[in-house]
Order: sequence, then structure tokens, then C-alpha cells
Amino acid sequence: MTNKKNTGTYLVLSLCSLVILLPIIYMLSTSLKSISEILTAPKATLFPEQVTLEGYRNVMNKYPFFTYVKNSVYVVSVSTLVAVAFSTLAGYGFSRFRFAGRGMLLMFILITQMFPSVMLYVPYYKLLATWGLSNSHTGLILVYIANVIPFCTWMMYGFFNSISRELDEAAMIDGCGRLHTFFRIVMPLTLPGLISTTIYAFIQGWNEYMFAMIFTNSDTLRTLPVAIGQMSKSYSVYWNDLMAASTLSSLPLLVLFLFLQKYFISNMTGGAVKG
Amino acid sequence: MKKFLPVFLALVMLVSMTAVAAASEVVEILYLSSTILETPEGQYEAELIEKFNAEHPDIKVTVEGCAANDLNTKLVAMATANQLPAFVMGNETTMSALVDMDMVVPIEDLLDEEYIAGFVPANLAAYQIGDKHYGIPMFGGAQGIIYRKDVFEEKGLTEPKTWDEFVEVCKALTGDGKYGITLVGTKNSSGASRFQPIIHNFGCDEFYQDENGKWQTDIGSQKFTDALRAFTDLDVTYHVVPAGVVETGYPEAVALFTSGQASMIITGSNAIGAITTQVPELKGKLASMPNIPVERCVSMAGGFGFFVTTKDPAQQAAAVEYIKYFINTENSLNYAELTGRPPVRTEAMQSERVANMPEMAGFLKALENIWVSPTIEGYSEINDILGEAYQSVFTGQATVEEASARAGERAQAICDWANE
Amino acid sequence: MSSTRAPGVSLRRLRQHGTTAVFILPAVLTLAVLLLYPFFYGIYISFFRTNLVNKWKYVGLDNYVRAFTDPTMYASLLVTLKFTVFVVLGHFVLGIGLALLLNKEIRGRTFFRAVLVLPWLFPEVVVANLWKFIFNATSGLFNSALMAVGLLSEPMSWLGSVDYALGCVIFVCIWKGYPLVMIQILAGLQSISHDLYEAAIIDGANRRQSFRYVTLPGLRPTLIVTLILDTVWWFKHVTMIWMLTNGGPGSVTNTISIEIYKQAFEYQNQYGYSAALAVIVFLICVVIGVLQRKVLTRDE
Repeated sequence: MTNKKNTGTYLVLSLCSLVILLPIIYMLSTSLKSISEILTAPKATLFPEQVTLEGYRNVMNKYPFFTYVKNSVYVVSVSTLVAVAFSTLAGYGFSRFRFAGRGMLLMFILITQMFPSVMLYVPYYKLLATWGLSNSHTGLILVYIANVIPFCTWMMYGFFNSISRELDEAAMIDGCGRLHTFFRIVMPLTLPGLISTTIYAFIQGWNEYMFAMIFTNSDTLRTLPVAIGQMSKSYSVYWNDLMAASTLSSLPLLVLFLFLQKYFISNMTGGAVKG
Repeated sequence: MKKFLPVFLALVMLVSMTAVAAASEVVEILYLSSTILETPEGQYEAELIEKFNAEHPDIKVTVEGCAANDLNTKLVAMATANQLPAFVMGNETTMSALVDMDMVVPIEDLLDEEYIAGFVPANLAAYQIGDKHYGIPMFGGAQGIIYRKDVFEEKGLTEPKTWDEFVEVCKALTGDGKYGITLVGTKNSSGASRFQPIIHNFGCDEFYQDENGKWQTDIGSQKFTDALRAFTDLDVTYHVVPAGVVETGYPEAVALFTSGQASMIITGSNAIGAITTQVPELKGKLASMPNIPVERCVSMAGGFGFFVTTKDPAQQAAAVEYIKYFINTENSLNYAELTGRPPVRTEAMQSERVANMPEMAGFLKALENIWVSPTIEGYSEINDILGEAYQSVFTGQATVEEASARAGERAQAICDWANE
Repeated sequence: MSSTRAPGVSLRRLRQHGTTAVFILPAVLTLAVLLLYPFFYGIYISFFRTNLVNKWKYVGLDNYVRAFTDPTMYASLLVTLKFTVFVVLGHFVLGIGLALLLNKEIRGRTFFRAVLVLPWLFPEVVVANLWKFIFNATSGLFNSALMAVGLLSEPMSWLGSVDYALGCVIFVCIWKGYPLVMIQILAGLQSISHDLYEAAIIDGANRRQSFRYVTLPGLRPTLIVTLILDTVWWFKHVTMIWMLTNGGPGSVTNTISIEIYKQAFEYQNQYGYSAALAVIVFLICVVIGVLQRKVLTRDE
């Protein structure tokens, strides 16, 4: 019975994995082709005729690639940290306190995501310029924080809601203060939610293109997606460079994900939460 | 983090103060460029800037790159916050947006008459609005057709002189999985600007002012319909174009050409540089010709210009110094040989080195009849209008007549908008 | 007595307000400071014909009138609607299904989790470029593969076809976006107590019933927010459609957000009209959000 079920499970998972992996393998293989092979081959081939590290060498030599990595790591780490901290606080606040305007504020947070971002570029730039923050990482960090807070807050709000209030009350009767209760008792229980929210915020920032493109000018400030976007040129696309850079830029995320996934998928909170 | 913030801020202040102190005699100018991201153009110019800065201790040019597709978006954002760089480079669309925002200095205020007279007139004409010019030509060029000389010789073909001959040549080149010509059929400026010379040459003026100064359009007229039919028939009727024309952007078209699947491509002369850098085997196998003549034979300007945006006289002078350096005879010839983008000064064009670039011949001939785009407010929508027209015919969504009528309506709306 | 208690109560209230503020304000203030200005700026310019710098001509409601009388707007709204419905549906079917499978104790789980989350890790710019490369009519892998197995006799232009372009764009957007839903659901599943399942089994519930009465209600908070935001995000999506098709062929994939982008940054001096369209999209998104929330919470 279980076995039969698992066969189905494996079938579906394998099929989906195939659809995911094929393009990515193609991307890897393109990154290992030479540009003249890509441009002169009459038909697309899944594997390179001749494996070359030309693309990777170009990415490393032609561009300050490590500067891009450093910039991305800095901007995204800081914005993720701040955004998740703010959102966790807000999520708990909305879940535990009843106050006038609560519903309105929750809705306001959601609604901030509904304005087309095309319309945000220009006013954001003006705003940051007034604060002297255009062409700076700080400006970009601010925008990223504002960009992910809504989803993070609502997710955390949901996670806190699924944890019984009796837990807080018990802790407070035991003499814990509100903040103490929050940090020591409730927050650890939302670890899976907290980590998935963090991953969301991180990935969102790591892959963001338009804001980064508009708000940073100098090559020394550029983040990875902008650098990659600019590799797809208007007169000639060096597919091998582009794919090599894409591969390299997503590696850190993959490592991060593999490292964090065990924390939010191992059912560690299962027994502790009373519904 | 918190602990380091004050230290960090103090450091930043210290650094910027010393920078200001040291810079009191150096004019620092910021330059926004899209070609700086291209290969081989970018590396050449980056090295040139370094050399320039070394030779001019009182000027420091800093270049920042921005993908051509994002340039307009970025300039608008910068302009609204009054944070434009000292000078930028771009095409006529960039210029007309900057002029509209009153953000660009006419070159008559920057250069003396004698120097201005030294430009190849066709290159300068593209930047004229009213009686002033707003761009200093950076490199010249006109659109034409690059073809595979070796394939033409192999099949005993010569350069076509009429549209019918052109169709015959295309047919002769098609077969065995190979095609006559690759067209850029995407719905953007890249595609539209390659269709535009065809409508011009069929005798259709996209926008013009009548005797009362009112804007009029020929789009949607019989001549436009004929041009649209001739263009789309290449794929729809004669099948001399590789599959997937509407998703073929410029880089894809170049790839079709380099892989030998197409023997002709409509492009600017710069493609020579891009192609031979990527596939060196094609060196010596390329040749060029002007667009196919019909009622007339004109070409779109294929050059780019520098636009000086700073209001500060010292910065203006520094920017002009660099621009003159970039386009001086020696540097512009080096640039031309590397990239296929011809010089803009008459003196440089008369150099033997230009004559020694045989693959450029067609483009140089095309330069003699440059089409100057009208400066009507809202002009840039033309790309979408033309793009929609040929795409809907290519994909069979509309007949040529329907597509032409729809394009006519949209073009008329632009006239109405501008006449308001 | 009441007079002595009253200040005590309000003091406690005040302190509680203080605590509330500590929790709520950082997030709310950040959003207010950064988003209120752009928001009102957008509404403001929708009443002008302007180049945003030195030309400002007040035109009242002209831009809105033009939007509502322009057939292009209705056509692009219809495309947007189709696009959003299929993309979000795809995200949720795949996201929920795969999350449930990956939540099982099976061998190779980590491998599948790592693989199935991959599309999420690539920037949209990369995903769009990659698929454009794959779908390419003459040199794309997709055509080569179909022709190799004999499903196709001559190259097919997928992104250039009136019949398939929208489908291809939807497919790519599903491919890119489902992992977000999957991960949120996986995380949501972890916060449902085992005890609840045990209780359900004791009450004699079968698998389907425990899914219906334990899993789904437990996931509801996650589901609602993810659904609302996923819908809104893809309703407004620009990047990948723009890179894949520029809204073409013809106007087959011309969503309203593509139209807004074109009006603002491709055409000249249409920011006012573009802003008017943006305000309309904003209102539609608000309505969608409110409706989804109403429907899903009433279900409780």
C-alpha cells in the first residue's frame, strides 16, 4: 500500500524534476561551450561538442565579478535582516494585540504591494535623491526592505496566529515580560516560518533587477542581476558568458537553501505547538 | 554593525573631504554610456578614457554603463531628480527626450563654427532640431545590408538594384536549410528601424508638417500598404526568411547570419565588428550594400552622438575636451577599424585607412542619402506602431490592408496629439 | 474606588499601546515613509500631460477618459486576466501538490527539494533569457528535441505564434514562480501540530478527511496571503513577458502592465496616461485582494 503510493510520488517528483533540470542542464552546458560553437552550430545540442571554460574565464576577467558578489551579499543581507526583524515584530504585534485601526493597518500593508512598480521607479529615485541616497547601497537597501515587508509581515502574522495564545499567557503569568515572552517562548516556535520568510526576502533581493539598475550607477556598486542583465547586450549576446555568470550567481543561493532547508522541513516544532 | 556605523561614517566623511580638497583643481565629469557595455567597443573606450585622464591631469572622466534598453528609463529618473551626468551618449530618441526636458546644451554653444563645419554633414544632420544641433556625432554610419560575399560569388549573384531583383536574389540564396535574408521582426526599435527605410524607399513619409504647420502622416496610405506587403511577403509568400521572424531580435538575427543560415542582414556597419569579433573565420567574407532602392534610396542614420547635459561651464569644457579626443582622426580611425563604426569628421573620412575597409563600402555609399527622422512629440511610439503592423501580418492575425489601416489610425492619433 | 482604578487602567493601556507601537511601528513606518510619496505622486501625475521635468499641463480626467474609451486597454486587460488566472492556478496546483509530496518521509527528499526549488533561485532576467534561447525557432533546444523524436517536421516559432505565445509565456512564469508557493506551504505544513492529525485519526478520519479538516484549515493563513499577493504580483508582472515577447506577436501577450511600461518608458511624454492606467490596475488589484480575502475567510 505505502509502496504503491510512493511509486506514484516518485513518478510525479521525477517528472517535475526533469522539467526543471533539463533547462538548467542546458544552461550549464551552454556555459561550457565556446561562443563560436554557439553561434555557428546549425542545431542546438544538449551537450557541448568541446568543453571549454571560456565563459567562466571571461566572467572573471572581463568583469569585477567578485565586487558584484560582494555588493549583492551586502545589500541583500542587510535588507533581509532588517526586513525580517521588522516583519516578525509586526506579525507578532498584529497577531497578539487588539487595537483601533488594526484591520486598516493590516490592509494598508497588503495594499502597498498593489501599486504597479513601473510607477515607482521615478518617484523612488526622486525621494532617494532628496535624501542623498541615489547611487548608494543604503538607498537600495531601503527600497528592498519596503519591498519585502508586506509579504513577510503577513506570513509571520499567519505563523503567529497558528500558535496558541495560551502559551503567551502562561509565560506571562510565570512572570515573563511581553518582549521576553516574544523572544524566548513564541519566536522559537515559528522557526520554520521565520526561515522560509527569510529565504523569501533574501531571494527577492538577490534577484531584483529594475530598482538596482535605476538606483545604482557606478560599476563598483552594481549587484549581480544588473551585471548579468547588462551582459545580454543589444548588439551581441555572449550566451556562454551570460550562462556562466547566471550559474555562478545562483550557487550561493543554492548553498544557503540547502543549509537552511533542514531547519524548516524537519518537523522540529511538531509536538510543541498546540493548535 | 551598529558599532561600526559611526566609524564608517567618519571614514566616509574623511575620504570625501580629502577627495574634495584634492579635486579642487581637477574637473570631475560623469559620463553615461551604453556602448561601454558592448564588446569590442567597451574595452576600447575604457582604455581610451584611462589614457585621456592620464594625459589631462586637470580632468577626470568617470564612465558609467547602462544597457541601451534601460537608458531612457534611467535618464528620465535622473532628470526628474536633477541628477544627470555631465554628458551621455545615445541616438536621436535619447536626444529628443533630453531636448524635450530642456536638459541638453546645443553644440553651437560648445564648439566654434570652424570645428562644427568639420563634421560629415550627414552625421550632423541627425541631431538638428530647428536651427540648432543638440548632439555631437560620436561615430557615424548608416543602415545598409551586410551580405556574404563568398556565398554570392559561389552562386554567381550580384548586388540587387531593384526590389524585384532583391526578391530573386533572396530566392536564389534559399534552399538546403539556408535562407536569403534574416529580418528582425521583434516589436521594438530594433525591428522597426529596419522596416522604416523600406517604407521611406517606397515613398512614404511617416510624419511631416504641411504648409499650415500641421502634422500629417503617410502611414496607412497605399504606399505604406505596398511597403508592408513587400516586406512581409519575404516571409509569408516567398519563404526566404528563417522560421520565427517575429521572435528574431537583433542578436538572434546576427546569430542566424554568423551560423550561415542567412546570407544577408539589414544592419548598421557596426555589425561587422560584432560579427568578426565573435566568429573570426568570417573576416574577409563580408561585404555591404545600401538599402534596396524603390522610389528613392535613403538610409536611417546608424550613428550615435554625445549629448552634453551639464550647465557648469568648467564641466562643459572638460566634456568637450574628451569628446574631441574621442573623435579625433587617429582615435576615430582606430575605433572604426575595430568596430566598423565610421568616423564623423571629414578629415578622418578622407584617410586612406577608411578606403582600406572594403566591407564598409556599401555603408559609406548609404551615408550619402541619410533620412532625418521628424521631431514630432510622441515620435518614439512609431516603433510599436510599425512593430504591431508587420507582426500581425507575419503571424496571420491580420491582412496587409487591415494592419496598414490600424497603423494609420495609431499614427493619426500621434499627429492629433502633437497638433493639439 | 473607580476613581483610583481609572488612571491605573489607562496607564496600563498606555503601556500596552507603547508595547504595541514597539512591535507594529517599525514595519508600518518604513512602508509609510517610502511608499506614500510614490503613491500620491502617481495619482497626481495621472491628471497631467507631462514629461515629468518642465512640461506640466493639467488635463483633468482626460487620461482616464482616454483609458476607458481605448479598445487597447480592454484587450490588454483580457490578456492580463487570462495570464494571471493560469499562472496563479499553475503555481497553486504545483505548489500545493509538490509540497504535500515533499512533506512525506521518503528517500531522496532533500534531493527533490533542492531540485524543485531551483527555478526560484534564478533571477527573472536569467530565466527569461534561458527560455527565449530554448524556444528559439531556428537554434532552440525545444525544436531540436521535438524534431529529433519526430513530433515536429519543421521548425516552429513558439514565441512568435499567435496560438502558442501566450501559453509559452504562461508556462515560463509558472516554471519560475511555483517554488515560492511550494516553500510557503511546506513551511506552513510544519506549523500544523501532529497532535491534530492524531486527534483526527482517533476520531476516525481517513486521509482525505484529515486533509480537508486538519491540513487545509491549518494552511489557510498561509494560503490566503500567498494567493492574494501571488495574484497581485503576476497581475502586475512585466520583466519576463517583456523579455520574452515585448508584448507580441502583434498584441497577443500585451498585458496591461506591459502597456503601462511602454507608455511610460517607450513612448514619449505619456507618463500621465501611464499613471492613469497604473491607478486603474491598482484599484483592480485592491478589488481582487478584498474579494479573495472575503471568499476565503467566509469559508471558515
